[in-house]
Amino acid sequence: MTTEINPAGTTPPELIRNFCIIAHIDHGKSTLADRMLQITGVVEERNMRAQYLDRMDIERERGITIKSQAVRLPWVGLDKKNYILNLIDTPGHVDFTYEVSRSLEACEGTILLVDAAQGIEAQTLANLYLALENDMTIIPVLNKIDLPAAQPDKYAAELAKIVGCKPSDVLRVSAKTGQGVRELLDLVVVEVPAPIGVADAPARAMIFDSVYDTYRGVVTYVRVIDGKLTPREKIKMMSSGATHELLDIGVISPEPKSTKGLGVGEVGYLITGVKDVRQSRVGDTITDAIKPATKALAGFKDPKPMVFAGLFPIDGSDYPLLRDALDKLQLNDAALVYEPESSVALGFGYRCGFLGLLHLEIVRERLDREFNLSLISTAPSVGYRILMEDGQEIDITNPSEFPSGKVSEIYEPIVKATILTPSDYIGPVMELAQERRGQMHNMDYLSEDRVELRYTLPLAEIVFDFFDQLKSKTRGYASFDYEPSGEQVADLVKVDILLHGDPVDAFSSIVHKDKAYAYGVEMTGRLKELIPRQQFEVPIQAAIGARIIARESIRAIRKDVLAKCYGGDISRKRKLLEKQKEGKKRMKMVGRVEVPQEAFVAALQTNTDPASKDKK
Amino acid sequence: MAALPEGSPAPLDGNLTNLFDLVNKPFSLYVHVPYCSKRCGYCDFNTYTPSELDREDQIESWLNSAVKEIELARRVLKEELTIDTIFFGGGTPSLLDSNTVDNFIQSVKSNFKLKPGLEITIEANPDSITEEKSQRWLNSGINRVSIGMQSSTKEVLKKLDRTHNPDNVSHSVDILKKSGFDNFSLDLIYGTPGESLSDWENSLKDAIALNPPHISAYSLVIEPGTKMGAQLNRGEISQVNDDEVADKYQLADEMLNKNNYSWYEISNWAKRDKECKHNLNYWLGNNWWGIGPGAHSHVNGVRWWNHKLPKVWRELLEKQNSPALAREVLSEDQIKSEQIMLLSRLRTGLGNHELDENRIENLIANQLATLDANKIVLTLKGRLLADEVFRQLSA
Repeated sequence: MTTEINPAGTTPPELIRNFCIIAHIDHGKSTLADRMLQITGVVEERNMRAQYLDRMDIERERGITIKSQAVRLPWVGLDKKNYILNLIDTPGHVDFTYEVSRSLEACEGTILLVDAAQGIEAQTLANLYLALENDMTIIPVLNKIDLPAAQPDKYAAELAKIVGCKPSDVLRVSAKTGQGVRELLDLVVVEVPAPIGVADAPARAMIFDSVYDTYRGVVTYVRVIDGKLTPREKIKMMSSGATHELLDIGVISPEPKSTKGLGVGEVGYLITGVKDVRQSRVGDTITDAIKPATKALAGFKDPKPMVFAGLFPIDGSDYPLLRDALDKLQLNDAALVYEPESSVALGFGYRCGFLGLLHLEIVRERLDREFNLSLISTAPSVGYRILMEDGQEIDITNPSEFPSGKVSEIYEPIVKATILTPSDYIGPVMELAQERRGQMHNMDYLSEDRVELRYTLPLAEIVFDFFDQLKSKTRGYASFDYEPSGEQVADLVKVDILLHGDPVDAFSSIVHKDKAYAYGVEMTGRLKELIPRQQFEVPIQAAIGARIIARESIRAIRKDVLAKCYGGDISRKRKLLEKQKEGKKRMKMVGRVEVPQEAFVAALQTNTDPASKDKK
Repeated sequence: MAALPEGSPAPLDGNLTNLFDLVNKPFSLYVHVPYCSKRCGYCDFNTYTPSELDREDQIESWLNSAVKEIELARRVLKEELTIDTIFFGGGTPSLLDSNTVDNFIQSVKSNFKLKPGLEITIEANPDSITEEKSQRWLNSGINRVSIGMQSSTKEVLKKLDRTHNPDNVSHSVDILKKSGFDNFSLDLIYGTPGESLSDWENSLKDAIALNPPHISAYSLVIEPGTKMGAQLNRGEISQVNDDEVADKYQLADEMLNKNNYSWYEISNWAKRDKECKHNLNYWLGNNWWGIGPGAHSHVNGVRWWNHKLPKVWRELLEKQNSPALAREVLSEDQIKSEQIMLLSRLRTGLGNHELDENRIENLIANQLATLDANKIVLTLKGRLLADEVFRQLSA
């Protein structure tokens, strides 16, 4: 065994290159990372499994990376020097913008990876803008040049235009075959600046990821800016002042390996024994507890939930299981928040806050898959800030919290959205955005037939089915991304749905005044179909305050009996009636009205946005 | 064909553990004749056309096995009970040869006592009633005929696959009256897809004009597994909506009341003292033995049902075994449940003791029932919502 060249903890910064890859789902980021592991020799061919770095099942199935990792790759540059390349994997989705920004912060350069058959997508563009804001070196790369459908010339021109380079500067690779990957690694050494830091200053390291591991507790990924972290020392989290002992410190290559420490510019993991990722938060600065730095690194934020939904177990007795499951998920998901909620219609559950729609979907899927929970989710909503006429200010995350007093102004969250579409579909896309109260800022032709549209949209208008609509109006060609962008005053009202005069909490919604009527008509119509006839006529109304805006009615049932009941029918009929009686027991009572739980599920499952009526 | 209920295994010897006080309780015989010349589109009874049966299971072989089952009943019931009513149902019992009917009744007589003047009913297809048959039935002791009239609208009969000519109904009634029958029923079906309210009104008018002592009116139920069920699945016919069915029920009740028929069960109306005693025994929870393939029986809280296939039924009886497929020993709760379900269907009503007062008051407040001499009696509205009444009354 040869002595390790450049062991961690002592690598000179000038030999370190920290970089990440920005790419759209399926554009081949994981494949490229795999190829790099292989070419640099950290993984032997026979141990290679597809997409080595994506650990979670869901990630692998959806082809997205939720949790980033960092891997240390040795590489001999064109100048024959032994370099250390740290590949920092970034989460691929908008909901994790903040985490993406921290991953980018840990690097000096990024590879902008684009599928040569598809061109750049909105998500990639949004992350690219983040990288440009961070003043990072960008290496534009076209992937999948081995595909017959690849149009490298076209998309090289597009990329060059976006990045501001010459089309000939765009590197062409095939992560699948390995073609061009060595050249890419060489280019990283040449193009990406070496990290700069003060070696003898008090240690400062930025947390760019934090992952819960059943056996080891929280594994924290850091990039050292100044000084050095060594095993067994006491460290301090600068946001909270909490101190922990460093039980283990090391690098990933690609399995974790303990080291004597991490020095300036180095990237690795550390373990302190904490059990909850919220004690080791992304963006926080770690310093030496004995000789602490005085100033934390800039940019630490507490990511705020943007999208809210009630999660209720279909079987009410699963409620404690749901609580345990959320507790467990939170160990690994600092952004997930929840509090108990009870609904007349849906029973006991939790009001949960998510970073965005994908985050919501991932949490729901994990609850289903890892914890076997069947859940009903209310329609996702956003948080509002409400100013009352008496000067009081109220924040709400649930339509049920909408105040009954005199409202002066309502603020809703807005987002900056980027939409990329083939130019053939500009009309329908603009129509959709306008329907959703979008305000266009600019429109750029990325190439002859691809257009980038930038909008400000109310978040509430995209949480329902905006993306589905966008896809259906552009035959699946458009891509979409957004980032939070503050709030705006809006003319919003709360629409209640009343069943026989009693409001059904699960269906209340805060909508724009112009859309209240459509929402009311849609929901009353849908409930009329879903709720069985009762002994009495049941009016279904949509109301804003005391004003009824839509009305349907379920006529009273007149006949339920089977006309015949002779000797041979008795057992069968008794069993049927007993079964019906059991079914009735499972009904929820809304006032005097019996509503089968399936009706709630059905009314909530399909999207509740009237604009999408003609969707399918 | 209607599926049989699920049950527990029935003993091969057919033995019953609880024969308490049988001699002092009413006892009926139901006799199932599972043969038809053609199956009707809506029918989900246990019936067979000649082409569906082996030679040894055709209608001619029925008597032999039926008599064996009478003998089994005699053995199992231990005592020579008095039979209160007999009902030949089907299928098409009027297809039976007159000698067969007579021989069967003779065999009942030689195993049991017959109550003097007992009601013996036979179901008949209007096409199969002849003067000769009618006379022979009377001579054998049959004193009530239930005629499957169904409708007087040709299109409706066609949809139901009924082969008879509507004119044959009045012809049959004439024959029966001439032979000396003073008790017969016309059985009607309403709610066939395509039947209008005035079609139904005409059927009622025509039935009333024949002045039968008894009229049954059932709303059509399209069961899965029937020809009409398949047509429904294919979208060739559509399910009739419940409101229309309710309208037709109300029309029937109104017209029949005007003509001196009173309801005594949800789907049955009769002139004074002409109620079907046999069927009343079912609803009152009394005991009966069902003879024949697929027939159901009830004795002191045990319900059982025979194998449906004539071949299996015959072979078991040939070996002196019980032809029962399965049975159900009712729990106290189930018995109570059945009482609520069955007695509430009757004009004589359901005793209010042991029932929750608030629930009864609630029924009355909602105009589903009235209290008549401490009996809960359904209103017209309540009769149409009898399932709901059951759910409210059974705790």
